[in-house]
Amino acid sequence: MTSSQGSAHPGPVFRAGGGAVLLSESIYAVLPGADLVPEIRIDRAETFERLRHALNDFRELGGATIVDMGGLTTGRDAELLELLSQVTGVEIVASTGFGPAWTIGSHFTNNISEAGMTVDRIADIFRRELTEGLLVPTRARLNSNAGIVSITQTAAGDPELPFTRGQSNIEADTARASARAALAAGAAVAVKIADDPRAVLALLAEEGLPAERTLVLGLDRADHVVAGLPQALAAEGYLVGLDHVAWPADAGYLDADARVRLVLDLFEAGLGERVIVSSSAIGVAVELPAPVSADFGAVLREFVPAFRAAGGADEQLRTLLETTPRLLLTRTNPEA
Amino acid sequence: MGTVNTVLGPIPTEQLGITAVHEHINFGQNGWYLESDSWHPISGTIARAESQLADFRALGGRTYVDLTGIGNFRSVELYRVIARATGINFVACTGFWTGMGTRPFFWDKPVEYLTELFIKEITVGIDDTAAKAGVIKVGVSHRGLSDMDRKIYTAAGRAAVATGVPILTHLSTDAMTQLDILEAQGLSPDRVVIGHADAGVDVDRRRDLEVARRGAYVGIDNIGYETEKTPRVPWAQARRDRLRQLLDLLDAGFADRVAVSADADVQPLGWVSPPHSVAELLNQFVPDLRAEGIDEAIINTLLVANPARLLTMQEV
Repeated sequence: MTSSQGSAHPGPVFRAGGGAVLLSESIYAVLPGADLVPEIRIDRAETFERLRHALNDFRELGGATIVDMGGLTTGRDAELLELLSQVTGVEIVASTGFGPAWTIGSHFTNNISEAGMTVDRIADIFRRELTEGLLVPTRARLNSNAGIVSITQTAAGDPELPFTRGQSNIEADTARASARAALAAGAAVAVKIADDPRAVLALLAEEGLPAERTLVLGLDRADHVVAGLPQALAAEGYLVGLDHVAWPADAGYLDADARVRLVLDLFEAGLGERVIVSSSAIGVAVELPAPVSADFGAVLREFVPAFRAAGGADEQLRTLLETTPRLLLTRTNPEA
Repeated sequence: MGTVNTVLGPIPTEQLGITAVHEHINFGQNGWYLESDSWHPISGTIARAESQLADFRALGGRTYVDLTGIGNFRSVELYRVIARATGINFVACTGFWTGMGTRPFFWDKPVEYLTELFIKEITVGIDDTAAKAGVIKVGVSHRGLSDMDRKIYTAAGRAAVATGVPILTHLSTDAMTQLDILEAQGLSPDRVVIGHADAGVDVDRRRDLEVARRGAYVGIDNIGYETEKTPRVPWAQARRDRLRQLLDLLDAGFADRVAVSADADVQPLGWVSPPHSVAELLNQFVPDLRAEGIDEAIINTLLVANPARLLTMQEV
């Protein structure tokens, strides 16, 4: 099927080796609990058609791979991801890991059993998704493995847990677990940061995760840029995620021009191999609190032409959209 | 004398017979299913339920109240299969285990939303089925009543007043505050079981007497979770101590203010239970009572009359 929208885009806007990779997107997400009430109907056929359309659009623009960065706790449907990948030809890489603390169920935040929950039990979930296959909860473990571990820092505006052994405890345990699982599987960790990434990065480092296997997402937040965080972290060896392409101006992220300039500056400083761009879109979102774009085409349709117009070279685009993300997704110990 | 909603439709109160008021086919905390070693085939759950409920029935048991709330893997489809297979009167609940067990979708919902949801599940049906809830479950989070707990209690109190079904609680922590919230909605305390008074972590004999004097039921409903069993669960109590706790209530003249049950999970989801079954209510607990010289009329009050009075839907 073709999903090209007339003259909206004349053909692929990104031509390179294997096609573009978006590291920070979400295919399908559900507010936990929305599946429990009678008035919300999740139309699976309609969901599938909308996602097929969005992914075909991405592929026609020159896209090859999308990483679903939602982790395990925001409604991931691994069988849907597999099916979409088959029918659209877009490679979909699932992440394991947990979303924000408020999406993690009480089995983890306030376990009732005598032994309680441990970092290693959480790490085991992530490790097995990276090495043994993705979970279809209560039923199946698929042949496809997760490609990366995704974790999220709690942001100021996030809902508070009604009760927990401590928001910071579950977050710290999840971070440690992500590093242990990633190290065991030779995979990388992506962390969506909020106000202060240093605490969570310190935990990952303490567990032995190298900076070059840590992708820090959300670094195109305007105040982080003002504070010089992208340059500082890139200089320390971290992968810098500028992953809010095409977000509305009032969301607190860099505008398109400023993001292009930041990327060019990083290349200028010799740090161009430590940057990725993505758009944090959600293909289909059910009942999520804030509306988010469902368009996976923004990076290719908007960022790429703007980057070229500002003097960016195709070789640099290839680094940003192919070489660096593919290296991050490549296992360091493929036998694991 | 009235009717009770079961998952296969309303039945007359007279049909209830010996009743376990606080049980679970399968309770799990959200997220348990991410640990794949905890998965169980549904056929095993059905087989265990058939076997345990058949034991209960063979010993005289007739009615089973499942108190697994919304989001803790309540499944009326499963309950209907089990009800048909065993012939047990199977009562399902609406409501929530505790605020801390609720999912984010519910956190910013007003009391009115929760009230309507509970009423719908009692008067229309659960999960698109015609199976109506017969009771409401509420509960206290582990450090005492949280804001979310209070919101759920408020909604439950209103839904109970609007529909005539009773409320059963998880935990007796802050018992008087629990009753304050429910009474403030216009609900009489005699429509409430303050549950798990016999949880080992939370025993308070003076509180039990206060609850009973106020007119609510004291839930001696963890029967079978004993410190003598392995593996230990945090809510276990020594068998003798639990029996003594109950005998004290009977001695004080409160036989008609006690609700007994086993709180056994046919298939625990993501946690490990000691060996346990609803049948222990009849093959261990009742013999224990008889050994203490408790007469059959009192035993009948505990197992038949109290549940019948409690579960019968009140005229509204």
